[in-house]
Amino acid sequence: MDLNLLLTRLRKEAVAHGDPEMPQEVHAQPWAAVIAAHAQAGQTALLASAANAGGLGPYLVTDDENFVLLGYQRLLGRAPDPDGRAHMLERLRLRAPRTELLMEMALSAEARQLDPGRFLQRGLCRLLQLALHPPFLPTERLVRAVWRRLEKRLARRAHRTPFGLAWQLARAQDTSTQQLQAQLALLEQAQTEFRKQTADQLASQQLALAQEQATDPAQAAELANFFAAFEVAFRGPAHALRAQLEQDYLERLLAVRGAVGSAPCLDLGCGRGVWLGLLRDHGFIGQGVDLNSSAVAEAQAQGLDAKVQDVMEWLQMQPADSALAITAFHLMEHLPFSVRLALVAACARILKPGGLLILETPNPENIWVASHTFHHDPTHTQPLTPDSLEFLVNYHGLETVEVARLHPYPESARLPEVDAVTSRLNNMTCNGQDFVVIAQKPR
Amino acid sequence: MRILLTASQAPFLRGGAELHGENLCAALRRAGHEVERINLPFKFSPEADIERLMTFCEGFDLSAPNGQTVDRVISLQFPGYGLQHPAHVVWVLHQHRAVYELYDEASATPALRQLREAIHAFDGRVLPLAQRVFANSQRVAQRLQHFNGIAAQPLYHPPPMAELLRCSEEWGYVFFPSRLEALKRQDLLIEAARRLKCPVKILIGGTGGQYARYAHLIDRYRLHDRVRLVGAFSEAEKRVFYAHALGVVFVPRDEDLGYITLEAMYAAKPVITCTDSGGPLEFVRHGETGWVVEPNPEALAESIELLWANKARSRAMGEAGRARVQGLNLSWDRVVETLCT
Repeated sequence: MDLNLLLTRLRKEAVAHGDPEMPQEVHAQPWAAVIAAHAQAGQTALLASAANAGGLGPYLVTDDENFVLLGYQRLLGRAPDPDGRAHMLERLRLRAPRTELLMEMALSAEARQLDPGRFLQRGLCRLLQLALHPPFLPTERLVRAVWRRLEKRLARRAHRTPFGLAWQLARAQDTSTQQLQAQLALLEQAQTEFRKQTADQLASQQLALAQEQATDPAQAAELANFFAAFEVAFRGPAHALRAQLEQDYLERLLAVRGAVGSAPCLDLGCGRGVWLGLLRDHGFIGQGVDLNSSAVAEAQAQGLDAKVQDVMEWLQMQPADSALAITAFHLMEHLPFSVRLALVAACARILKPGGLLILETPNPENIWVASHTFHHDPTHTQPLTPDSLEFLVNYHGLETVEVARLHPYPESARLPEVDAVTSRLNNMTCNGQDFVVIAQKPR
Repeated sequence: MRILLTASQAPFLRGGAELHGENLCAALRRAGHEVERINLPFKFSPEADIERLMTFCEGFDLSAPNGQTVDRVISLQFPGYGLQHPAHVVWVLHQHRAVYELYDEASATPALRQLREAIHAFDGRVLPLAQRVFANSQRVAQRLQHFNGIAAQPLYHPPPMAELLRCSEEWGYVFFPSRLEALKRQDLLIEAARRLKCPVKILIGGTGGQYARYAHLIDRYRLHDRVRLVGAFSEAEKRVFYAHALGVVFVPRDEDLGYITLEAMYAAKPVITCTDSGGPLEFVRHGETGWVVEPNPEALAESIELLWANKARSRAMGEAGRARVQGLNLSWDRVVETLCT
């Protein structure tokens, strides 16, 4: 027998023999059971008080159900069996006088056995029964009608006795208690549902809040002002940034123009237009887009072609094979991954064959950047690594021209290299703070 | 009798000791005793916490808490047996094993060394104060004698639901139910499986920390057609796995008692165990109710070959085992009687 078959057979037999352990009952709504128990206890207490009161009164003031319970309890010393109970309730429904039913019970064999004495009472009962069913006269309907009226009068009187009043009061209290408990249960249920709904709504509310913030013009302007100032503070003054960009990329742009010919250069996240200005000064056709309205206004003030628009919307409007170069300096780390993916795909479409895509972003290989400076900007989503960004552009069919680490800390920041540890520490802390992936659309 | 039953409880770690405590409590109550349980929170580390618990126990008087009469304290474990009561009866399941039979001087940390001294001194101080000291098995009694010079009487009890174990037609496999831990040495059986000539199958039941290692061994030796890690099993499955086994293999290192031996015998199955397995040796007689072999794969494989080669004799050995275990008359009533007189 092979092992699988063996195990199957063993387990099958185990199921057939079963486990003697019984699972414990779990109450999904413990309070439901509690309410039922309360109601039961209330009824019992009420009935006990009725049973303790003597005389005919209790029989006359109770409702039908309790009358049956009471009769059985007092005359037979037990709870009614289902058949007996059903029979009694049916007789009551047919308007049999309660006293008549009580007499029948008192004369029953069971009652006699339980309490053999009480000859006087039983004799009276017997006489009354004879009066109800005289052997030879057809007067039963008449007698019963009189009897019923009599009982009604007695009942009215009983309701006015102290016991009757107490009974009614207790009934009313009991009913209202039960109603309150039911209401409480409903409220609890509603509260549970409400909590659940609240939790469900929280996310969408947060989303709505974020959208509201974005669409509120006053707030949007304030945000734009803040980030324009932020850019100046953290990217440095325009002339320094322009010198850096010129050193890093201008030569390459001139070379590609020589090879591919003149065509527009698109700058994604152009900010205040430092790169666009450099391009213009060297005879390139530069077009920029940015979400920050105050930075774009600054660029426009210099006569540069910049506009406020969502970068993806803008890219979708660009014709295929139309751009000499597309640059995104410190933009990618602001975007969620799905947008990064779509953005590179759009660039691959728009670039002319031989055109360049230049993506610069902070370099997390430098641990100061990864652990500290990257987090200056609250709108950064996630640091990108050179390998993954290169993979992303290659994935969309662009060929890597260069992946370069840029902007190392100044020499003065480095530790004197005396051994492997200081050397490694220098590499980890002082190498390029940014990196760039330069890729080319295949010709 | 009003009895306090003490035990150690490592939160959310359930093992044989917890089950044992519950069964004893139930047996005491069934016999009409009023029982309350005191579970001491137990942590295996840091060592300082164990020392704190020892100090607490030794300094805590349970003779008449809040003026309540306590007729007897029964303790099953370290360090609860240190609690003070004039009628303290100790039934040692096992001592703190890390500083006794499992202690290894070479690999011990300074903290463990210090703990070892403290526990040896503690056991030597408090156990002689007990009215009587019983041990869960002969093996545990031997250790108490060996390490602490304390004489303890072995007191055996039946494994849970032993009465439901049964014997059916064998389906050509050996069964090794145990937690998958290094001390249980399931790897010995896996190594032995490589050397087997007969087509016997091997079912290893249980879960534990060594699962990945054992699965890897089975992979490496390509034993998929022969050996299976069954994983967790229900009580009903356990009984069926016993019922149809050709024999039971139980080869732990220095086990205290081991229900497995007794369960196998109640199911009339021969047991293969090792010369250093501790508890099982008190029940398995080599050549009569099973095999007691050297703890190496060759010897184990050889005994399994014998088990397979002469199935009629194997069946007879199982029957002999059942007769022997039934002859021991293990019963909770006797345990209760012994502990309460």
